[in-house]
Amino acid sequence: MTSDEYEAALRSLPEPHSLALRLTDAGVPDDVICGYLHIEPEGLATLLDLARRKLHAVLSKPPS
Amino acid sequence: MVDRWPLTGRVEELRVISEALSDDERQGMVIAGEAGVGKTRLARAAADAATRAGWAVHRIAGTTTGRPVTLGAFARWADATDSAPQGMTRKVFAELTAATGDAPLLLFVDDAHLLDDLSALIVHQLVLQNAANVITTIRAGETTPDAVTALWKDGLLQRLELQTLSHNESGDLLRTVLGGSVSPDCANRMWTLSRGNVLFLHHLVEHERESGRLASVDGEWRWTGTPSVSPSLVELVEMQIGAVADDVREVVDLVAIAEPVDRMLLTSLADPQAIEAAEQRGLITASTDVDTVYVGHPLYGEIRLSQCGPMRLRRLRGRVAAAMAKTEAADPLRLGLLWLESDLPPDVEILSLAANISASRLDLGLAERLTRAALDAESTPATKLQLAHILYLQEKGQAAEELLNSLSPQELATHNFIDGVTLRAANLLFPLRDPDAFRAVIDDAVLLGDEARNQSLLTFRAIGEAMAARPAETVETMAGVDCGRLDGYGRVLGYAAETIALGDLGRTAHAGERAAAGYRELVESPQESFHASGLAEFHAYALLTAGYVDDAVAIANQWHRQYADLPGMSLSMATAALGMTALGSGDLIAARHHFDSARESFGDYGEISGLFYRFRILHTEALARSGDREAAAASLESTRQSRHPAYEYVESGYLLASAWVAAAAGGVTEARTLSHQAVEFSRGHGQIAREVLALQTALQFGDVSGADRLTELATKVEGPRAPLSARYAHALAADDAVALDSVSRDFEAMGDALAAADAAAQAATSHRLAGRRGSALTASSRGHLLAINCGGAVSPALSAARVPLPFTRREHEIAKLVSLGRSNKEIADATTLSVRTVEGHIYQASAKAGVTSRSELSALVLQFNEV
Repeated sequence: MTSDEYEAALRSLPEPHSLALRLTDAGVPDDVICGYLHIEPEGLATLLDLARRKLHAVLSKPPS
Repeated sequence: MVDRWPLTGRVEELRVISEALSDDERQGMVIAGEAGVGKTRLARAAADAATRAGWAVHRIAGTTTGRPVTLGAFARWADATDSAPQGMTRKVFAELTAATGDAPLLLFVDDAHLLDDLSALIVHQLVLQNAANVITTIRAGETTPDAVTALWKDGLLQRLELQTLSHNESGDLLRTVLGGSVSPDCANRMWTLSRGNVLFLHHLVEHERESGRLASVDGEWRWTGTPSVSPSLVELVEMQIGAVADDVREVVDLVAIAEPVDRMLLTSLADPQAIEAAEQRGLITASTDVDTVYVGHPLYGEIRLSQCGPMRLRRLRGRVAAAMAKTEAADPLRLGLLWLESDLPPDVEILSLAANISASRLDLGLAERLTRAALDAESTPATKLQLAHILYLQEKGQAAEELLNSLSPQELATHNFIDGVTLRAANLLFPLRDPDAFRAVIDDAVLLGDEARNQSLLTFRAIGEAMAARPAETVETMAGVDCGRLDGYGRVLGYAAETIALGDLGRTAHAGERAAAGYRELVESPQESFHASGLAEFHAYALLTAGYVDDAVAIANQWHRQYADLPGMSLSMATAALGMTALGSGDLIAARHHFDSARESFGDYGEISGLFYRFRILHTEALARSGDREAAAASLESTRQSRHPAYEYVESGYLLASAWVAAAAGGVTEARTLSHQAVEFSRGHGQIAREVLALQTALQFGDVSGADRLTELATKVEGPRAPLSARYAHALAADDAVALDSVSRDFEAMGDALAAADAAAQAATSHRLAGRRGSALTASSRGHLLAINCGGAVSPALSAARVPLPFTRREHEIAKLVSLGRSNKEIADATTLSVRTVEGHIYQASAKAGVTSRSELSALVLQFNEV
C-alpha cells in the first residue's frame, strides 16, 4: 500500500473518523481529540476502533 | 420513513454492537449522536440481529411528552396501582425477566435522554444487576438523567459516537434509495447540503422528488433544484410536514401530544386513511412488539409541539384524554396528566387517582398539582385530606395544618390507619415540631370513644411515647392495642415503636420478636419501605446496646442489601444504619463513609422533620472518636441547630456525642459531666439499656462512680454489655490491671473494639503505676493497635497510656534485629559490635521493658512496630 492509497482511504472515511486517526497518529492527547470532535471521552476508544475497522475495510476492498 | 430506507455504511457499527453484547466486560451499547444521524435505525437493526441470535428483546422509548410521567416508559409492565416505587420496580423486573424463558434479555431503549428518572433508574439497575443487556440511543448534547449517564460513565455500557455518513456512503445510499445511478453533481450537492445526515438527506430527497426537481433522466437521477439558502434540518422537516394535508398533520399532533399512543385509541380519534398516510410517510411509526404508535422521529414531535399554540395543545390533550378515559388499559397517571393540561372540565376521580400514583412514585410536585386541580373542581373532605397528605410529605407543615384545621373531627376520622387525625398528629410532631400538640390531638380523638378507631390512635400514641423517651408507657399502650384490628401499615409502625421501647428497656429478646413480627408483616403485605425501614434500624440499635454487636451488624447489612438496588429514602436510611453499626463495632472509617454518603443522599429532604437528626448525632461521635476535632465540633454545632423535639429518645446519644467532642478537645472533665448527664437522662426515662451505654462511656473517661448501678443493671438489661460493663467498672475502681486486660479482651470478643482499646489503655496505665513496665508496654501497644485497627481512634485513656519503648537508639536497633529473628552473632556482624556488647544491650533493653526472655522482647518490639 502506498502512502497515496492510504491517504485516499483515509479521505473516504467519514470526516470525524479520519480526523480521529490523523490526530491519534500525530500523538495528540485524547482530551484534545475529544474536544475537536465534540465527543465524550468514554466514546473515543470505540470511535477509533470503528475508524480503524472502516479504514481496513476500504483498504481491503479490491480496486474498482 | 427513514426506517424504511436501507441501512448503509453501518457494517462496522453493527459488528461493534454485536461484539459489545457478547462482551463479558460491558453489557451493551449507548449509541450517541446528533438528531437525524440514524441512531434509532442502527439500534433497531442491531436489536433485530440480536433477536435472530436468540435474545429476547423488549423495546421502550423516552418521549418528550412522556418524560413527566414517572415510570411512564415501563407503564405496560408496572401496576396501575399506587404501590411504592420499590414494589413497582421489583414488579417491572419480574415481568420483564419472566417472559424471556431461557433467552437472555435485551432491552432496546430509544431516546434514553427523554426517560423519566424512575424509568432511567430501572434501566440502570437492570444493567447493574446483570438482569439485562441494553442497547440505547441518546441525542448528544441533551440533558440526560443521571442514571442514564452513569451507564457509560461507570463503564457499564460502551459508548458509540455515531457519525454522519461519508461522501461515498451517502452516494451509495442515494443510489440504493433511488434505484439507479445518480449524477455526480446531484450526489455531490446533496452531500454538501446534508453533510451525511441521513434524516436530512431523506427529507431533501423526498421534497425534491415530489417537486419534480429530482428526476430520472435517461436512466440517471439528476437534480435541477438549488435551494437559495441551505436550510437547516429543522427547517427542512418543517417544510415537509407543513406540506402534508391537515388531517395527516393532526394525526402527527395527536401522537406527539401523548406519545406513545395505543393504535386503537388513535383509530378512534382520527380518520384511518389519514393515519395510514402519516404512517406511509414515516411521520408516525408503530412499534412491532406492542400496538403502540410513536412519531416517526423525535424531531417531528418537537417541531409540531413547538408550532401548536397553547389552545390547540389543550384541545388535543382533551381529545386524547377523553378517549383514553373510555379504555381500561390506559395508564392512570398519563391520563391524569393529560387531563390536567387539557381543556376538559376537571374530573376529581381521574385527577385524584393520578395524584395518588404520582405521590406513591414520589413525584410530589406533580401530585400536588393534580390534587389541587381536583380540589378546585370539588372541595370535599377526601380531596382536602389527600392534599394535606401530599403537603405533609413535602414537609409543608403549616399549609397542611391549615387545610386539616378546616375539617371537623368527624371529617378527619376515617377507618384507615392514616386519616385526618393521625395525619394531623404526624404533621404536628414532625414538620411542625410540636410534640405537645401531637399528644393533644391523639388524646382528644381517643376520647371520641370509637373502639375500632382507637386501635390506630393508640398505636400512634405509642409511637409518640417511644420517640419521647417513654419506653415503659409505650409498651403499656401497645399492650392495649389489638394488632389484629390494625391494617398492615399500622401493625408495622406499632412493632417499630415496640422495638424501640423494648430495646431501651433492655428487653432485647422481646424487641427482636417484635421486629421479626414486623418483618413478617412486610413480607406478607409490603408497605411503603421508608416507614418500614426503621424497623431494622431500631432492631439493630437494640442489639448494639445489649452488646450483640455482630448480630446488629448482620441486621444492618441485610437491610441495606434489601434496598441497595434502588436509590431513594429507604437506601439512605439503610446506609445511615450501616454507619450506626460500624460505629458500634469500632470501624470508624466505614462509619464516617456511610454517614457521609447517607447525608449526601438525603439532600435537604427531611431537614424540617428531623429525619437525619439521630444519624447526625452518631456521625458527630464518629468524627470525635476519630480525633477530627474541627469536623466534630462543626458537626456537633449543626446537630445542635437541627435538634428536633420529637426525637427525645436519642437525647442520651446526643449528650454522649457531645462528651466525645469535649474529650477530643482535651476536656475530660467536661466529657465526664456530659456522660453523667446522659446517664441521668436515660435513667430518668427508664431507658436502662442506653443507661448502660452511658455508664460504660463514663468508665472510658475514667469515671467509676456508676459501678454499683452497673452491677444492678447487669441483672436487668439483657445481653453481654451490662455484665461486662459492671466488671469493667469494678476492675477500674480497684485499679486491677489484670482484670482490665481481661475486660478489654472480652469487649473485643463482644465486638466493641473502641471500648476494648480504652480498657487496654487503662490496663496499661494501671500496670505502669504498679511498676510492671513490661505488662504496661504490652497492654499499651495492644490498646493502640486496637485503636489503629478502628481507623485511628483517639480517647483520653489512649492518650494517657501512650508510652514509648524506653530504649536508647542502639538498644532500639538491636531489639529490632532480635525481633527479626537474628542471632547475636548476626546482630554483632550487622552492627560491627562484639557479641558480648550485643548481649549487654539485649539485657539492658529487656530490663527496661520488664521482660525476661528473648521471645518476650521480640514480641513486644513487633507489637510496637505495628503501632
